[in-house]
Amino acid sequence: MLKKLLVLLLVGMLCTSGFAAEKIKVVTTLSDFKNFAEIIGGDKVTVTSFLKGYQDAHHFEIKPSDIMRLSGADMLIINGADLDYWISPLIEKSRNPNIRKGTSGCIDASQGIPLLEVPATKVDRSMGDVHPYGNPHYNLSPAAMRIAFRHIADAMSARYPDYADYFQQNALAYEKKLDAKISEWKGLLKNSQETGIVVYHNSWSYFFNEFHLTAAGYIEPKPGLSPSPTYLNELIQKVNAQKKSGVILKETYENSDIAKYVASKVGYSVEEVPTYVGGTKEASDYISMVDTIVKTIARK
Amino acid sequence: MIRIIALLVFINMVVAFAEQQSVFNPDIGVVGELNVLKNENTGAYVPAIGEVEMNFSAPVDPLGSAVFTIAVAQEGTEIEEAYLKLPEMPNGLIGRFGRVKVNFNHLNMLHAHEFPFLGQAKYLEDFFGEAGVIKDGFEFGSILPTFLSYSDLTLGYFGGNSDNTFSGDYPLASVKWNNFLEIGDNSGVELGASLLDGTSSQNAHVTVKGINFRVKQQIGIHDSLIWDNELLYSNSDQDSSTKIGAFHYLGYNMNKQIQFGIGMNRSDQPDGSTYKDLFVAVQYKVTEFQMYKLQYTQEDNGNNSIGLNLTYFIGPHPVHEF
Repeated sequence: MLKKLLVLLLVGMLCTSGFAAEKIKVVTTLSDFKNFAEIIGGDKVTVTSFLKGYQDAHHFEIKPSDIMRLSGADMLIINGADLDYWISPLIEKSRNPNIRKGTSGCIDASQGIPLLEVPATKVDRSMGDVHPYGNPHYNLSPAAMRIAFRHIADAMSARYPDYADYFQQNALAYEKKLDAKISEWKGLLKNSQETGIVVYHNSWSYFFNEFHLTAAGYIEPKPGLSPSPTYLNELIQKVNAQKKSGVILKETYENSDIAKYVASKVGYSVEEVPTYVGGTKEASDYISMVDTIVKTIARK
Repeated sequence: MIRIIALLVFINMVVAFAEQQSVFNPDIGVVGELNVLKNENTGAYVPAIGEVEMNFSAPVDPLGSAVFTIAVAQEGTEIEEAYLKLPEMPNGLIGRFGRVKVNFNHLNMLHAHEFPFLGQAKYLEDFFGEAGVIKDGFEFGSILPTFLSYSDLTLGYFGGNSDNTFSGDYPLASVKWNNFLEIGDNSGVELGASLLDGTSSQNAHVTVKGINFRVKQQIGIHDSLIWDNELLYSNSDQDSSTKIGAFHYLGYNMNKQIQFGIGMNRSDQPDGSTYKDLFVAVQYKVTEFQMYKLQYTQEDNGNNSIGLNLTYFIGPHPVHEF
């Protein structure tokens, strides 16, 4: 009896480890792409993301354990456009040829997305934290992320042709859902053009562009630069001159004291919004993240 | 007409040259410093620029990349690093060939401008010189199977560059075993053991063992706590005495912009005395590329001082890991 039990246990363990080993290990830099890879890959993949949704993608602190995570990966999905620049030394240290840039195992999700604010002149740091290939924060545009989603689905299908039909089926179902939500979001925001919206960083360009909104002001005088008291006074004057009611959208990793100070001077409210999946409790996936942002603005 | 064609050909050549330059030029970074430190002779506080560090890096070919770091100071020019890195060698090995910062403890692998305090860790400076353990040779590193979050082993064979402990005329062997344990999403413990085995300029066999222990705890989204400890034991068969060097630092990083820290150094001197100090340092990063450090240091011999440092960067620079 004991022998049978042991054999059963062993067979069970072997089967379990066999199934676990069959799963494709996908690593992503941003949590948004983790969500996408899980939707496309379903039960064929295990996905981990380096960044949690509440962290700033510009400043990721590499830990040695991140090297291990990448060394065992079958695929890597990056934002590209210089946002997750810190991935390059990690790829090198991982000694994993499967996910080297330029191979089919490394998907740059920005490919095919028309980037905004591509510098037309020489870029230098007097402009602040300007990215040389254009604004990399396309993840706040559902339309741009639909392109990224399709690119990821096709790249995963091409790399794993045995699962291609399954991946494409999952992708098509999600695209349908996303298209319906994009129409809904456009409807919700159609009357928000007059809402004053103050944001921290120029990570909102794609969102504003897609929904025909404009920023009443930026808390950062230049990308990545903390505001001086003089600049904040100028910002307060500028926002007050627009004579709008509105909201300050605070990203989860930004300083709330400055937002509260500006809000108290311009009569706006401060709302913490997710800018990546998992940024707040409500933003458990990409659609709920955009839902949260859209509804926050539409309420004003 | 001929002039126009010649002009078009010239413009075409210039554009082609510029495009070629952007493809093949290495990344160039320069670090500048201004210090206001107590002059050792007069006791007066005198501003002076520190060394200018120039860093060049680029892929050599699809298999490897090269790094050159040149330090230019009032005293002269020094090649701090010049190596070829091969990240994808057989059996998962990573190799460095040339002049490198030897994989010994943790701080030795970093440049002093990356520290949230002034200058080099005193124990490294006393045992190996201002830039730490820098040698010519080669090393191979490999990730080890482990129950921890990460473990690696690096072996090196060096020579070529003498310091306060080792003669460059004899070979130097190095071993570094580095381990990391991730505790949840927000904290990690790093523990390393290092060994350097070589010969001193007095022809004595010298063994230096090092231990580094570091804890980093993220507090909320913006803040973090760092506790860093490094120890060194040096044995020479000439006098069979053990010399000890130690560094301890506890720092609190607020909003990734301001870091307060308290630290201490201890190092046995060649004359048998022991140097000890205690310091309090504040670092303020205006941006990633402009930072200020202010430090008060109280030495055991009663020599107390205040120091101020401005560090600024142009061009790209490697991701900081302190």
